[in-house]
Amino acid sequence: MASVCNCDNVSLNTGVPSCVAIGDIARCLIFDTELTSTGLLKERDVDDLESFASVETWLNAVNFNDRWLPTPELENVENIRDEAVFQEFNSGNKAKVRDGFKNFTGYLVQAPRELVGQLKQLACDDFGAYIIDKSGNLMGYKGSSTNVMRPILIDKNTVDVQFVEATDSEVAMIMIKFQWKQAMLDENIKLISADEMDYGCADLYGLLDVCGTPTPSSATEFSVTLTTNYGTKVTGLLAGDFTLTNETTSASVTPTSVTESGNGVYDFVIPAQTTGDVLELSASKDRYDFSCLAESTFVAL
Amino acid sequence: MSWKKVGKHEFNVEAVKSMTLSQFSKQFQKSLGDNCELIYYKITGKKKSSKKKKETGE
Repeated sequence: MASVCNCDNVSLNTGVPSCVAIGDIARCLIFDTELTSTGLLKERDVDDLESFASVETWLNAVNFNDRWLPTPELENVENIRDEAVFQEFNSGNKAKVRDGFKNFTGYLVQAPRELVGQLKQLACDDFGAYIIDKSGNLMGYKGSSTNVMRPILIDKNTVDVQFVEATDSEVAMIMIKFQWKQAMLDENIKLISADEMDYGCADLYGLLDVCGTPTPSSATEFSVTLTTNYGTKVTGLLAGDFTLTNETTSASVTPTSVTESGNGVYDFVIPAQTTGDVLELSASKDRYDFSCLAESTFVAL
Repeated sequence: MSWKKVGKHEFNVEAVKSMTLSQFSKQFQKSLGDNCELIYYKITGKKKSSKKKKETGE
């Protein structure tokens, strides 16, 4: 919790190094859950945060709690702390009650409406965010040691995401607005210099949700059309990207052939299964989340 | 598991090897048409059997 001061041990120095990076205006945010899948405070190793090879495994993590969720690049960012709250007495003297809250506002230019629904879910769990600034520095919150960082925590009750329609003079945008948690102190924001990192906002990507309903046409054939939540077709998947499981017998089923017969349309030939068995098709490929596809089981003919 | 790509099709080599030509043709006639036999031998690497001429003793 933010405190005005700790009077038990007042000792300070005001020296400042000759050249220290302090961060620039935010260029993109990377949302991250506050807790790990096991309920522990999530801290990420600084060495990993500097390396795109590590970061890319987080972008594509199968477990949602391990996944990094970057935004496209932001415009018109404001990240400003309100003025501190003071109590003023009849004498004219004032006493500080608390620091002001820090508010973040940014705009995603020409981002599709569907993204609004995704971002609104930030209000449904405890999230924080890392910031990559205009100069490519990454900012996060002080961890339990100097080798780790945590996301800067967001007050989920303050998350506001709105689609701003285009006008004659302005393009369509998504506005994202929230308040950082009061416990997040500016002095504990840590920075990894752009010089130490081998990636920037432009290298990061969020996953696309992929859905499809496999439809059998015979005992040995079925087809599925794969579509993202934005309505675009998912093309270019290879046989090795798919996994087919007979849920009834818990056995893996190896297709005899897979053919992309049309734009995002995949035809499968499989060994005949027992009629009535339930089959589940799933897939795995960087940049896509196929959990919606795996929910669409189908019955063998 | 190895896959062999023929046009838009990706075939599971082991699965095709376990099929006879007639089983393969029955399954893929619709999509491969007259190319069934050619593709079957290409995927499996099997040699097309040639019938021996009967010796006539002449």
